[in-house]
Amino acid sequence: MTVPVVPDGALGLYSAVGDAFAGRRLGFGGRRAALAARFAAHRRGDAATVAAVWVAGALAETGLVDVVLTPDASPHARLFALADAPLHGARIVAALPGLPPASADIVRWHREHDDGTGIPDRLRWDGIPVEAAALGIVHGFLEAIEDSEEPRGPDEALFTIVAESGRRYRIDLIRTFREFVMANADSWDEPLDIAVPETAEEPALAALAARIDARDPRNPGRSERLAKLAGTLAGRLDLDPSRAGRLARLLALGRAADAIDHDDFDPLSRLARDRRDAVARRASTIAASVSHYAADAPYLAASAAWFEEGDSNRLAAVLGLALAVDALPATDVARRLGAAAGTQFDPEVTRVYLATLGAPT
Amino acid sequence: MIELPARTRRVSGTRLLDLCRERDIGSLVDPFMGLPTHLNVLKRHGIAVHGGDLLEWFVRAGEGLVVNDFTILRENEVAEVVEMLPGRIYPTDLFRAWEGVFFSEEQCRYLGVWHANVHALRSDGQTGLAVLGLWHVLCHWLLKARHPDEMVDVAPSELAWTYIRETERWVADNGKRNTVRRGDFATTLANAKADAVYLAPPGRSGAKRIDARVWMWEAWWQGDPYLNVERLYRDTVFGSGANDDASYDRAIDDVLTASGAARCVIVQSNVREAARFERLVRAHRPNVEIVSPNDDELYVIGRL
Repeated sequence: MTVPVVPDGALGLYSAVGDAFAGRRLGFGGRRAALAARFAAHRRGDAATVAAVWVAGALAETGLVDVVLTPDASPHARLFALADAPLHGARIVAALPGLPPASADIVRWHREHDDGTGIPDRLRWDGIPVEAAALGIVHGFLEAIEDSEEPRGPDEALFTIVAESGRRYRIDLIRTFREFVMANADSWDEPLDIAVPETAEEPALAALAARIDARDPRNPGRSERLAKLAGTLAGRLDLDPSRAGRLARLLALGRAADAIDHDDFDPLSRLARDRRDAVARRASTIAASVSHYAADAPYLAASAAWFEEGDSNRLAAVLGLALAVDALPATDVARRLGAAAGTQFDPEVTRVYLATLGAPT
Repeated sequence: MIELPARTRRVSGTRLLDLCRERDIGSLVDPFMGLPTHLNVLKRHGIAVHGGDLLEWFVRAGEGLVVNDFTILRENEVAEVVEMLPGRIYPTDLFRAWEGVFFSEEQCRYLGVWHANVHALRSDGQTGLAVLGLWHVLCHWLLKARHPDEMVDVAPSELAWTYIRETERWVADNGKRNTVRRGDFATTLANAKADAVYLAPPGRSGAKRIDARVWMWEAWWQGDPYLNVERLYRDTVFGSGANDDASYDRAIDDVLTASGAARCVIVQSNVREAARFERLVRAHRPNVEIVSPNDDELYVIGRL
């Protein structure tokens, strides 16, 4: 089985999370994958190499999910933490079963510089694998094109990276890349038809959610708790338990940002609602950027809505309740949920949950 | 114009880090460390590291990146390295022998100035950082000599400034004692005890095939443009007597014998040489494991 040429499924989600943490447009990773694969094919890479480059291009910045920085981190601490991002990315790629084995090392070394000043290893010259060096050029080129402060056209972007020839980038590869872009002025980032094994969705999604959870030491294992509770509740409400579990894990995407305010204080407060709204919207936006998960996006967005606002969706209500249960002290759950049923929470969902506790409904 | 060969060995600190973490290794010694960026990576991740090499500039770089925990160069100190100081007499013709052969007159003059300025630095840490930063300039110049139209022109002092500042960013503290020493493997291994010994042994005739950018920088550091680094290796087990397979195996065997105190030995090789190194390691370690992430990198890991 293969995935389409634009990163989709779990792979697409990992790519989008990388984009989100890097503060890039969602879809940047997909474009990088297409361009990197085209460039590899242009250099007469075999099918396995092109596929490995494509995967590495899609997941190059996913390692940022494991980089945790406090707002007051010193520039030195920031440098060291970010220098490990490619290493984290390589470990993530290596842990995803079925992906081309070469992809992990391409991710690991795609930020090395030809002059030995890159990250994470400060490899130099031909010690840097050629596919990793090529991905570094592709990344630099697209970064220049999609620079939010100073967007450039392809010609200007080429000029930007050529200026780093012999320093950041290998001279012969820059030469080849320039020829490639100029010869394919209209098609350099068009998707290629590539066969990449599909990764198992559920474990991959669970692992991604766990990594995002691990960024916040106050709440380890949160997504799995939510998935379990949402699945149980959905089953009792004749909804799809596996979908509820998946949505619960997808909620973690809302915290895919460099710094996110915690949202685990009193879930019934106004402030909590605003924050949860923002997190739900963010999760929904990221999910919507991956076609496989686009249908889940409205449920994620609605998970922060209050019942009294109308337009209630039962699956989204399950998510909302699960979030509240997880955030409330166990001794308060029955009392406070009962009080908020019909206003904040769907009364039927609340009743079913309280029944599982043996609390009066 | 000098040949810049394409055969750089990939020594990856993060790969070693993975290997160390998987085997609960908390300290490591590399008796053939070369440019110790890999030791710096390991140090940054909390592993105590020790290194040794025969080339002095590698050891100096190690003093900047491996031994040094906090010393950096302040702006004025970088300026005092990269520019000619007023009132000071410089040996500007020290590297004139390279003029017109490898470098321009201006570049040779700067090499002389930097040689004097770096030798005048007060701390080993600062000296190491400057040596490594300036080495990048030498590499840049040699590459630009081969590709004059494909690399931008940067003023020597600006290039030196950039690379020294870039280098000193990587000074880190791991709360442990880290050492480097100039000496052969036996001296290093006798003086530095660690959980693991990492070996990326020199190839056959390694001294003859040493990269120009490496020997030239030793020549620069020594202030002798005619320096022949082969003599440093001549009397070692990897000297001229180790060109045939049997002698080379004996040399590796000597290193593995000297590594006997370490719980683990990690020998980096490649797929082509795997069987040879596995056989050699197996003679010293009952438990041997091969880790081969790709064709260019293969690690023979022996444990007691």
